[in-house]
Amino acid sequence: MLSRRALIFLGERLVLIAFTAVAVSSIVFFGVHQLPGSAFLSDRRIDPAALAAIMHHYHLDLSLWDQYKLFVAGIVHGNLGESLVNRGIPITPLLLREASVSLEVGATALIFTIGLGMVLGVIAAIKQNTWVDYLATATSVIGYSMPNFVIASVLVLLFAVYLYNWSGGVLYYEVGWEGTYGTPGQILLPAFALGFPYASIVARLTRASMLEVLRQDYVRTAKAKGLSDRIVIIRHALRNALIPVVTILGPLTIGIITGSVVIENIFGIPGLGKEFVQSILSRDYNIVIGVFTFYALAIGLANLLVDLLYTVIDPRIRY
Amino acid sequence: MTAPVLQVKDLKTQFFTDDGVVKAVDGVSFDLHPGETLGIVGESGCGKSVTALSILRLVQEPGRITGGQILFKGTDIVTMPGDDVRDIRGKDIAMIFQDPLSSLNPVLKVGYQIEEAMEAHTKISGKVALSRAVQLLKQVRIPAAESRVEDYPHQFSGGMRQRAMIAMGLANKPSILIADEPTTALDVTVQAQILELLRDLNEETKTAIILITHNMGVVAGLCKRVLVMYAGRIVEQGPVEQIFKDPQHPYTWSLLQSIPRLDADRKDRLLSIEGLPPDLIKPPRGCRFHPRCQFRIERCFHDDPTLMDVGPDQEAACWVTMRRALARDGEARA
Repeated sequence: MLSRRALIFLGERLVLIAFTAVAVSSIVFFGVHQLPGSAFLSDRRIDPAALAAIMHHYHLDLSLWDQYKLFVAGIVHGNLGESLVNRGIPITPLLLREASVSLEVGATALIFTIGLGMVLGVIAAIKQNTWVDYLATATSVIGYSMPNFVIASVLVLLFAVYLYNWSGGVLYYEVGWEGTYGTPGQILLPAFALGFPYASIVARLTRASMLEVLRQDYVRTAKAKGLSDRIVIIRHALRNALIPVVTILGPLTIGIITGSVVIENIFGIPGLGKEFVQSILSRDYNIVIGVFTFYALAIGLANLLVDLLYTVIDPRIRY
Repeated sequence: MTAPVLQVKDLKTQFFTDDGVVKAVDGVSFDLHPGETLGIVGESGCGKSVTALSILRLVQEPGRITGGQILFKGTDIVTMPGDDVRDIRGKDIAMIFQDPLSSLNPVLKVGYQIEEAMEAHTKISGKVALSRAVQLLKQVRIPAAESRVEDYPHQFSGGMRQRAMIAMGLANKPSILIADEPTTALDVTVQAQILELLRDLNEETKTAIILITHNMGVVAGLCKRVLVMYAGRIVEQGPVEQIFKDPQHPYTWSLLQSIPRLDADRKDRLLSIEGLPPDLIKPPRGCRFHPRCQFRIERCFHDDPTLMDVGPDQEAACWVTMRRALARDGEARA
């Protein structure tokens, strides 16, 4: 199915993503070691001999350059080392698990973003300059003028505090997850907080793009064939209107990934975003590097997916 | 003579813009008989395309049909419920447009866009629709039609795209095909091929054709009868040969004078019509052509002429008519 050129394109991009991940992790490696403080600071006194043993175990007694060489050798084998705080715990499986938690929330947010954004945008475009349009437009203005942490805090206040008080503790949203993965009910609020600002952007873009496409000659041709309004809009207009919308899917995915850092902390979600903040606070060098590397990979792959999506939607684009 | 398949009676289509009401079509009437080829000519903005779009009720906001009737086999399209108009579109009356690149959906396969025209009106299996699409592409003389159905519009040349549009229009064997400037975006040799194709299809399928163009030569190549439009009105109509040989409205005469001729003396300047078409928000009083007319008389300034018989089967809306104008000029010179 894939042509030779497409395979070469794909290969090049994957190599580039891997290279980016190595570059990002190297920068972070040198950066994080400049942070003041250490993972082994503690209120209790530590036996100097034991500390020396730990330092040796994590190669922290070597020069930074030697440490870097060991680190690169590690990541080439997919081994990101061990956690400095929770000693002995290998990082790669830990981060993979946390990434899957973040993916669960992020993917829900993404589906929600695109779904709500497109529906609002299409409705606003079809009902241009009616109260429906104004309502949809007003909703999106609210959406993109509120940062996700404000939305998240308001949601927590409404559903975890007010709802608890109002229902006498019967009905409420519980912040913080017990298991690894959240239930659908638990995912909904953080996904909404994460996706709503971007849904507004998608809605605005879809509306503008639909209005443009609905004026095109081929839409008139489709009507002249006697097709129903529904088919004209979905099959002929929307598909073309999606082309510019796909363009912002890349930045949008990145926004959701970085937004998850804030959202996961507010909602107490045990994902990559929460680990990101905690590991920096506790100077868990290896985890900090690991999280950054994961993010670099995720962003690279998301952009690649968007580029591939273009070819699905627009047959004029071929790699 | 058979009953007309389409009767347009006193059609008025107006655009309600911020600057005022544009009377794009202002009382147009004509009949179209089964299998007939009718040309509608005029400058840009004279209302010919809006007339065509009105027939299928495809005029977009802020435009609206504000008066008159469009009788298709006796029923009025203007007052018909939307679903009934949709049944007629593409099935009984098909339409093809000027720019075949922008008129085809860039993200859908050409074959699919033809199949879709059939599926909109008949229950038909995908396989049958595909083979019919191939057959239609062959009918409009697209080589290697079997593989070409899988192509996207950008893989077609301009002429092939217009052929594909025609195939799409013919998909449901309509009784009327409206072609809005079908050759304007194409180069001259391709233009000739498309016109020849339309002529052959008219003879084979007996589909009546309404050809809209600003090009008198294109009309001569295809049509039996012609309507000349100016400023939202029909100013002259009649058989093509008659109109070409003996035009009676000064506007028609000027249009024919402005066609470059190979046999003309190279030193002769090409004649053009002075001035611009009038503003259709406030059309001039009297005859709408009088500000640009070189044969006008006093009456033309305040009295609006209607179509009058000026010859066998020929009508013109003019107080002077060319016959008298040329005679008068002859006297003046003598």
